[in-house]
Amino acid sequence: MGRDSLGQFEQLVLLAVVRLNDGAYAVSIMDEIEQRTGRPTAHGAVHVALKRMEKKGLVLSRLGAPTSERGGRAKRYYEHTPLALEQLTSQRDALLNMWDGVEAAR
Amino acid sequence: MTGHSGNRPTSGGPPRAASLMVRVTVPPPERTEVLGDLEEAYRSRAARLGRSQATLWYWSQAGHYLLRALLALPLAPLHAAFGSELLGELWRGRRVFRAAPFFSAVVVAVMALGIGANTAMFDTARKALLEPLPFAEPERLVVGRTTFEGNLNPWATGPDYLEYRDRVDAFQDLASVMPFGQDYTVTGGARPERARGTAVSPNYFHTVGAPPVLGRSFTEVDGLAGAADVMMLSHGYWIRRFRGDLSVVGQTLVLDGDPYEIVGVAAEGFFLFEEADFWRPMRPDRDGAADRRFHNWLFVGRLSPGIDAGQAQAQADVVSAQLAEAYADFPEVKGLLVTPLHSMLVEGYRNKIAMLTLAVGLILFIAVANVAGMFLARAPARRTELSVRAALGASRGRLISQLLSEGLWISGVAGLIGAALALTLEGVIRGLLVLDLPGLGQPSLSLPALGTALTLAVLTGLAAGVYPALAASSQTLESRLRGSRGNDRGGTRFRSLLVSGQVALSVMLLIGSGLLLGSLRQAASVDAGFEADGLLTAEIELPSTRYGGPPEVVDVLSTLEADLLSLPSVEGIAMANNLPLRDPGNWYRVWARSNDQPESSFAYRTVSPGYFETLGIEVLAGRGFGPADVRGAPEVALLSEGAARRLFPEGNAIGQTVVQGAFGEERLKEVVGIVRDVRQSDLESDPAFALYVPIAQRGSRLVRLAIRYEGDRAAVAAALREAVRRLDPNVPVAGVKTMEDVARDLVAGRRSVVTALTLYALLPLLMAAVGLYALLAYHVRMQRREIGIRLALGARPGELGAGVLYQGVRLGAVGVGLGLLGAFALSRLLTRFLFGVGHHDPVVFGTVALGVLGLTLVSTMLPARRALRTDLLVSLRTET
Repeated sequence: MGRDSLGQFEQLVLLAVVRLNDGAYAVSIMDEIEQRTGRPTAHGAVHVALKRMEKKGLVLSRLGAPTSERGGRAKRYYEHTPLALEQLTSQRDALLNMWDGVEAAR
Repeated sequence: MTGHSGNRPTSGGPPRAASLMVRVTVPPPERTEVLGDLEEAYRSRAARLGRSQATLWYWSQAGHYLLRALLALPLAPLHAAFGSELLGELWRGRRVFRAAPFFSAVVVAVMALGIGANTAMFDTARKALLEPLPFAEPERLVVGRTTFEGNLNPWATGPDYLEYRDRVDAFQDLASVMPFGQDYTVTGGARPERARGTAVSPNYFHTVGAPPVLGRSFTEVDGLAGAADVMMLSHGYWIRRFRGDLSVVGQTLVLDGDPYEIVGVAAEGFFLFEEADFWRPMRPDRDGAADRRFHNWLFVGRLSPGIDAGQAQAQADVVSAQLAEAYADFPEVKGLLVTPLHSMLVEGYRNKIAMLTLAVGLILFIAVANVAGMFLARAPARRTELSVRAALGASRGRLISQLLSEGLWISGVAGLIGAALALTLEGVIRGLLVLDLPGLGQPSLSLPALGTALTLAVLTGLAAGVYPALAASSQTLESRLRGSRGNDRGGTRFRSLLVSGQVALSVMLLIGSGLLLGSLRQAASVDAGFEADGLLTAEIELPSTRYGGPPEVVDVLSTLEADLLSLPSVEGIAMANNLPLRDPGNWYRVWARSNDQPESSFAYRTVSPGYFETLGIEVLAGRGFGPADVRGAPEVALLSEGAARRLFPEGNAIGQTVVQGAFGEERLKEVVGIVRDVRQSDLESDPAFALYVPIAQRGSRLVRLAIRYEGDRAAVAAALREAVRRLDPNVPVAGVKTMEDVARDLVAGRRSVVTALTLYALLPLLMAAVGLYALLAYHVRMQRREIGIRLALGARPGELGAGVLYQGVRLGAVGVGLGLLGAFALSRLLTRFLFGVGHHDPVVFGTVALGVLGLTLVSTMLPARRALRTDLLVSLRTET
């Protein structure tokens, strides 16, 4: 895979960010992935993927207000950039093209 | 367990040690959001799935972060820059986690526990045994205790104090303290309450070297007979009762009806021998301080400069001899033992610390042995790699360093986790030791502790790697290349021993905890002889200043009884000097007047007429007490059934006269009834002989109440307080608790020991199971070629699987057998702690043996099944 392509886990995280709209932060992303795929994820994995994608310009982040159930700590919200959407779409198209006509082989 | 548990998350937050680990492994700018995320998720999990699930989850997240940080360590570029091969070896060592993830996880966990426990143990021992006491020049402080014929007694009389203080020059100062507190009713504030105080000589605080934070300490004048009453508050009591009010000096508190002026507040955390809320000066006109018969005092001395405890001892011996000559009532065998204060304070802990050190050391040893075993198992598989590298010119040292580096990685990770765990474990260890020393403070991660963890990590890493490294490198190159198909006999024997040894150890420990668990169950289900459920207990003390004689006391009590009985939720009231299980009380000599049965020790109970019905104690013969049994009427008594049998073996107790000896007088009482036996002091001793007399005939000022209630316990407690307040606003209601709680507290100590021992037993068992699995899996791998050939020759897979099963179960059985033998020999040591269970209880021995055998069977199954599935072609190709 080239520099621009997303890893499988990154795709999952990024799609979760897109789905969650304004409410995407690491905990809600973990929940979303677990609910949709049935696979629990580690906070560390999600966190590191987000940081990496932020560097690549795929997500933007902003700090929210601190709350008491977080021990008075602020949470960091994430939103996707147009670049992310573009990459997600192109990878989906590539996959779908590859799958085209393979259905019978399953 | 005491209150210092370090792990208890404050206000329901995540585990401290784990969040510390996250804090260390996440870079600072991201820390806040990560910790916040994790805490939020932890709380929502705790609410949904429970605290323990959430804690487990949090730990797994922290472990993930730790692993991530390790794999991202910038060692690789470092090594490239320096071009050092050794660093490269070290760096490659981390691959051990990928090669054997499950086993390394288990070993890291156990090793972390081992390093953590040893670090905590070391730090606790260091703080307890080596840290100086928090007083000025503590090395000059000594304790003086009385001896009779060389045996500690250990307290001295007030007059002894003055003699030693004035005659022994070696003491720059000698102070005296009553080393046990007394409860006082404190009034003269918002509400009456009970508080604990003790008496000290006026020079006490000066001698110890602990000046007050507020006001002054006592002066010589305060200690003169008839001086104005003064007191000093402890820092804690000052905060609790006065909220740290700076104007407290000069205010007055009333202790048992007498006003005392507060002159000072002691330093924060000041504590020696006995926790006290306040101190009063020792005075010749009270506390029996001038009485040669009362041995109530402990001495604390400050040695003169340049004098050591031995010189002080020699002088004290001279004075003791002089005193024996001068006073008829000072026996010749009586002496004073002078000991450095610190060694006296820790003398009760030394053995326990040594035992516990041994126990935690064993965990670490087992973990190290397991890591070594794991490397041995992998050694043959890597032999070819090693040999090829050796042939290409790698030195023997390099090969050794590679194996050592894997050991260091495992122990390094374990050391990091262990250091974090040490904080928690220190609280646990203090709880087990019941450690109570001045200046100990809260558990904290000290620099020496971190150093210990690090050193232990390096040492265990080297120890675990060194045997396999030597084994792998000792063979010649040729034999190694040829040996690719060979067998590793030495390693296998070592690991078989390891597995059997661990199984044996866990069998022994599990039998120990099983026996204690059985005792716990027996103790909790024992018949106390009365109905403990649904009873609320409390105590009140009627001050002598207001209730002069027994008639007034009886009046007040019957008013209170009637008042409480009028409440709909109250079904019965019992009043007594002591309640069973709750207050052991004093013992008296009792004998029968008519026959020559020997006297016995009796629990003495003054009880109200409603006592037996309320507590559910059956009256077996004769009658209970009634309204007619008052002062002036003939003195009557009830006997417990055991006591009646003892004093009157012919069974004719009723109508007989018993004699009670108390304080030199003999009281005669007519036996009017017999009641069921009751366990008086605890659940595990046999019911004591008991003598019951009517509270109206022999009342005491300190009265314990038991209320049989229905419905809300808090409402009943509130009603009780209100009723007492109406009666007399200066009488505090203390010690309010249900009888169920009393019974539970009695077995609580036993319960915590069982928990600790069981956890401790499960560790080696888990390692044995994993080790057994690894050992057999390795066997199967080694024999793959043989198995393949035998399958090809028509052997049935079932037989081959059974062969593997047999190997595993044999190791397990050897371990179980050894463990049973060991437990059989050692369980006698537990006899003192057992109750209702023999120390060779067959049920416990059998259950543990079968359970552990079953577990070894399970951990054998997997490799056996793998052997069956061996593919012929693969196995013939295999060159491992």
